[in-house]
Amino acid sequence: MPSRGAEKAVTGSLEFLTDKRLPGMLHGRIVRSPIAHGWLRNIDVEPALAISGLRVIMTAKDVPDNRHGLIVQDQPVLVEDRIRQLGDPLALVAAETVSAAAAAVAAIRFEVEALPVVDDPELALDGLPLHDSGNLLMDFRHEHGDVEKALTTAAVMVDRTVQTPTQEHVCLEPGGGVGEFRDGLVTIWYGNQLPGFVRHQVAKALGLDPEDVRVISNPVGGAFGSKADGPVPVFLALLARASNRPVRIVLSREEVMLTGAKRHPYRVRTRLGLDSDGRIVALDTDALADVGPYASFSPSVLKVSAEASTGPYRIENARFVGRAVYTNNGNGGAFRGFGVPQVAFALETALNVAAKQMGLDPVELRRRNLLRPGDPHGLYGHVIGDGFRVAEAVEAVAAHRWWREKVEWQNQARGPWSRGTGFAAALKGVGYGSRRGDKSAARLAIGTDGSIRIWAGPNHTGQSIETAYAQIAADVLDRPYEEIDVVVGDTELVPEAGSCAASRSTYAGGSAVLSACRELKKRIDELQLPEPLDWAEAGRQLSRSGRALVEVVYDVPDVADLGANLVADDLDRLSPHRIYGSAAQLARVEVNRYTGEVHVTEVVCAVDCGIAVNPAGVIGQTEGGIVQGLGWATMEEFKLAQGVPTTRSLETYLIPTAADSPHIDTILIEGGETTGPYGAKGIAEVVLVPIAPAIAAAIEDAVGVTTDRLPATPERIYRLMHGSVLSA
Amino acid sequence: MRVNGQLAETGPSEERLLDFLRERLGLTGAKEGCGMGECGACTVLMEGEAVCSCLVLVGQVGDASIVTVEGLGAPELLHPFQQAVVDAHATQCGFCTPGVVVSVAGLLMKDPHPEPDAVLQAIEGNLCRCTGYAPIFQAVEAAGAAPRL
Repeated sequence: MPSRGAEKAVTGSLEFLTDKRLPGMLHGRIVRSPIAHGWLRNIDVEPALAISGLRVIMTAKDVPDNRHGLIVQDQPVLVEDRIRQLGDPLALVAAETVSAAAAAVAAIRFEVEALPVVDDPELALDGLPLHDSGNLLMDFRHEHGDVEKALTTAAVMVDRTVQTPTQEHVCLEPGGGVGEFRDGLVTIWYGNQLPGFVRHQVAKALGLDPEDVRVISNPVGGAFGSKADGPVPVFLALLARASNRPVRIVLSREEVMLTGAKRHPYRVRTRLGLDSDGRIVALDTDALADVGPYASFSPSVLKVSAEASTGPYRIENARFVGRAVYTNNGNGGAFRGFGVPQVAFALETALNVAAKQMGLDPVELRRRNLLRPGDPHGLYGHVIGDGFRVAEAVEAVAAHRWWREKVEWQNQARGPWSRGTGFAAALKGVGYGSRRGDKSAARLAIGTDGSIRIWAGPNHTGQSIETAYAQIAADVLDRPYEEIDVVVGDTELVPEAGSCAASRSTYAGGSAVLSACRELKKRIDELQLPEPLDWAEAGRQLSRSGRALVEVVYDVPDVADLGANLVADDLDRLSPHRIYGSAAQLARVEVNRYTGEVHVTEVVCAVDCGIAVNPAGVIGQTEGGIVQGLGWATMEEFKLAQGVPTTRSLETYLIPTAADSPHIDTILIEGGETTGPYGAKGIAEVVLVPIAPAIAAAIEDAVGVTTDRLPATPERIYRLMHGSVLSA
Repeated sequence: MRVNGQLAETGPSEERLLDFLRERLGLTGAKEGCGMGECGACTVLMEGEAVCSCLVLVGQVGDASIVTVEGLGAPELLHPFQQAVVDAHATQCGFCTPGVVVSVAGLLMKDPHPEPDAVLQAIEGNLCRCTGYAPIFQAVEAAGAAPRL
């Protein structure tokens, strides 16, 4: 089904919120810190006041509530005294023209006093604290069984440490929007994933009632986790109120790269023990996550890492120790995968090493350990539900000719290019996890002309979720898809439905829509109108009786509902998931023995998605996720030197282009997931996870080197192949 | 300046063509993704050649003809490649899409049945973060190109 809005996108008539213009609009700009760590001693706005066209300047003292943050409120809207990141916002200006705003920014004077930069998360534990609470944001650990004892008796032991890089989202739309303040009401047009949160943060910062804040969050030019938290919507509201004019802020690519959210870099040590039959008897995971200056989503990311650290496997004895540490590096936040890619890379590469050591086929090693419905989760022991099909996904990849013919393909390699094929599998929970208040809502109205309109969330950030909602409605109501009108992304109109995140949009949002449609159908059936149904008459009758509007809240099923063998306190602390999506992948690579270049030529992905409500949507997310994961695996590394980013543009931070895109074969492993809408479940993140370890395994198969550090750039692979006095 | 076949009042010569199109002519199809010619979101055709409008100054345009995505088709009457993109699900968030459409339309105007190398050369300057590029290749193929290798 072609997505709605596609025709607007191809003709350039899809208006993004960064395209939006309002009459009388001012241009906002942000004054940013030139140092990574230090004190803001003084700020002098006087020199800027003379600039013609300047209307507003604001500093921290002008912000009623300056504390910002999704989970921990450790981030100032505008710096009061402590600078913790290069680019931290010091002041805001709004002016009649872009050039006047830029001139005002340049004219503002400030004094800063540098502090030593904290850029190593290990050293930061005993180093200069960035926050009063110290640099250890979170220590999260859990063990079941006796890992140390099991490791001593294991027949096969693997002990590896890996390092994964900081990844930048690189949404094609850097971000920004417009704010307006009129008659005591704030309207914010800002493309984002969490309009409900944005509304509350804006209200809090300005000292307003959330009822007086409206957020329009749609459409947005890509998000992947980066447009969820952060102070920009608050900047818009502050400037709009102070100037009494609409204000527009458009972030530059450099601003986003300097100060926007990132994927946390992790160092992970994995100690894996197997018995002589290849069954995993022990797994010890020690993860160190570099948070950067502000907590953002970090506590949740670490918890998701813990849950995913045992992968889709049964494990008798497992332990996870994770620490999230503040530094002056890039700000770790939400990024598609949300802590899973890092630990999955560690585990899957360790398993592939074990397979090699044992002379066992890597797929066979998985087979002997995969979780099946009814099995206990590897770390927490809660029951895996009946819709979990990682075993089928693994078999689908193993049956693919690119896996079966891997040796012949390898032997046909020519010239300096060596060929290899690698395999990996992963799982990820759908939704926020147990006891996190994961719910969604939908509102449906039938008009007196028989028209159907649905207001639902989460909104679209590229995955054409309105299409899925419309398809669900069309199916239940037996109406043509084109006749279903769907509205997303406006807090005034759409009931709070939670975020477009955690792979939950179809699952949670779609379930609410399904529920609302079924209720409407029930009400129409009760009217006992003759066939064929006159929709306008149905609409009129329901309107007269006050039953034309359906409002539904859908609670995402909780693992506790399954009678999980976990006590309430554990559910709160661990937030395990009821539903898991999973994926298995193979990657074929060619590695140049002279240059170390890695070309990923083909990928197969079998995705355990439940029922695919919109198959094109599932395939689209799979292909996009694989290429984004491929970037993380082979070329993307956000780098800093002493807290100063050295990759601050797309010249130096490289993401995959069309030339890097492999041929991808996507296999949908369909089957009922009894709780999802039509049995659907979320997969948009898990599809990104297996590609990196699959590529690493393929590189090993091609040229015999083990990749411990991502990205596997030509320089690193070259050094691994040929050795060097310099460290990789 | 000629934009999409019509004469337009020119602007300050030091202004970026991207800003001229977006702010003065209201043609917001071309997008700013990076401001330095790395992402291709601002692609327009100048005398039939794809250029990054963030790197072209108004003063450099002279009387060259400029074609933006708005000049290629409208929802009621899509350019064949625009239709191919819709049919192949080759757009997700849509932000890179105008640039991709212009790059490919420019190629097809010169060569209706381009070989894989020519296709790659035309689109490897258009970054897309959502689709993974596979459906873009499918759309180009549906519009007449040879299948990619």
